[in-house]
Amino acid sequence: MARIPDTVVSSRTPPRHWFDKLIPRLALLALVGEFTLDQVRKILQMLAIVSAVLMAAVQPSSWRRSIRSALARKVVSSGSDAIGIVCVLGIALGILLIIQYQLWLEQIVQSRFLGPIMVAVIVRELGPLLVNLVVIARSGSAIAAELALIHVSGEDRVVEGQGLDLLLYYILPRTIGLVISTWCLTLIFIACSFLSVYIGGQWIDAKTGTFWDFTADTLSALAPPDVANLLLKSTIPALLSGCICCAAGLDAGDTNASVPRACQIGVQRSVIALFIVSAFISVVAYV
Amino acid sequence: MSDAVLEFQQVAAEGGHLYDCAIWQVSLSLHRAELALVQLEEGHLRIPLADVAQGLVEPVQGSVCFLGESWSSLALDAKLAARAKIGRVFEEPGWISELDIDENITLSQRHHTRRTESEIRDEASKLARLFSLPGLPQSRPSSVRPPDLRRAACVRGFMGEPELLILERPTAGVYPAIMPALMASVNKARSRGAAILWTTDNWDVWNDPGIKPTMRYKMTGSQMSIEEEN
Repeated sequence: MARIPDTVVSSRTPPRHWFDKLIPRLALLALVGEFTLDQVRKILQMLAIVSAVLMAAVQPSSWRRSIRSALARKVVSSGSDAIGIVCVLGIALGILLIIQYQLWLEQIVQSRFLGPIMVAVIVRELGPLLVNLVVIARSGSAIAAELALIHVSGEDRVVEGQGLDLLLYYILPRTIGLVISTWCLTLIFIACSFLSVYIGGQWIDAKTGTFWDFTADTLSALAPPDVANLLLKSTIPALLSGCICCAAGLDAGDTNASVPRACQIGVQRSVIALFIVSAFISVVAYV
Repeated sequence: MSDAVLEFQQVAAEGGHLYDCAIWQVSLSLHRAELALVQLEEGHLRIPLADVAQGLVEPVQGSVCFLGESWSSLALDAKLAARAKIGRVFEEPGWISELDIDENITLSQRHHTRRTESEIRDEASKLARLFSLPGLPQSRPSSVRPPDLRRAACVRGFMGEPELLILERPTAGVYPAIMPALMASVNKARSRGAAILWTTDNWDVWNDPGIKPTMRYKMTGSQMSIEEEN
């Protein structure tokens, strides 16, 4: 076949309009816009679920005995069953802190600074953050997987078929159960950390003072913003995680292959929400 | 307004991942104390008929009314309250896996009524004995034998004297042993005015003279045709 000379091809090609050159850039802009709108849509959807859960939670008619039983089961599975791991983590964190305290601060400060340091590190930041992470990893992923399987197997149809609202039966007890569990586990975690700091300090001969001095120093270092910070950080992220994981599970596709994906989405979004909300609360409380 | 308990008017519903096929242009009218027997086609046992009847699946065409109200016109709370008046033997697997069988059986009554726990459990125990169970099974659905699951499904379906009973292959795996108890319960329900929609793939059930259906329908693919009307 005869080859068409390049000159002929170029002379037959119509000259590119300036608008044509913009098309790739506009496509990129469209992609960015689409992504942004998608994210905004997801956030609005999540806020709608959170507000629906909160409204249902404050209505006494939502808490029929079937729903109360479901809440009790969820508090046991996400709270009571996690006490062991939270205690271990709390003790380990306490030991790490007292060792660092001994290494870095022993020579320059007195024992009365230990309380404020504990409050700053454990109560304000690490306690709620670590407990939320444990709850997301342990219960959030389980909720997403469980609800995805329920959707795939059609079990949600059995619940709806008996006249139960999916929001009330599945989302409300799981979310409120997660909030109650996270709050209680955070308190247990902090108590374990403080005890292990004191016992560890006694063991390695750090300047912790007597038990009553140590307790008094620590409690006196707690200010009202610390209490508010602790309350908010151990409830709001848990509320969001519960809603996010429930939504990820119930929005899963129709096949078993969608179950792991639902877990990934649930855990990933919950962790992002946890860090953003925790940072925001810290800024509001302390800056 | 029609006085039918359940009414399908030219209903078409899509098949999803839970069904073997869709339904197309289905019409039926079920009044108090009537029984419609539907013969399912082999290979198409899971159809959206019961889900559409309960307003769980929105028809793409036509309308479905329960007690004179179209499901599509009801608000969510009204829908949930209406579903509480329907007893259903679900096609397997029709259980909430996180609950024991006894909790599954009593769930609807515990949720929708103010009856005492003992009253609900007494009714469930009586029905369980009627359906040849030694008592209310207190284990997870996954650890119960399929025939006992079917019997327990019947117990759940008849709990609370519903106005409409949807029996999806209630005899599957337990025919003919379950028939005396099932017929006694069905006749009792009909005598107090409940309407019954019963699906089966069993020819012996279809030809059983004791059932005395008001209408007989046959599914062919996604279409339902009337075979007999008494």
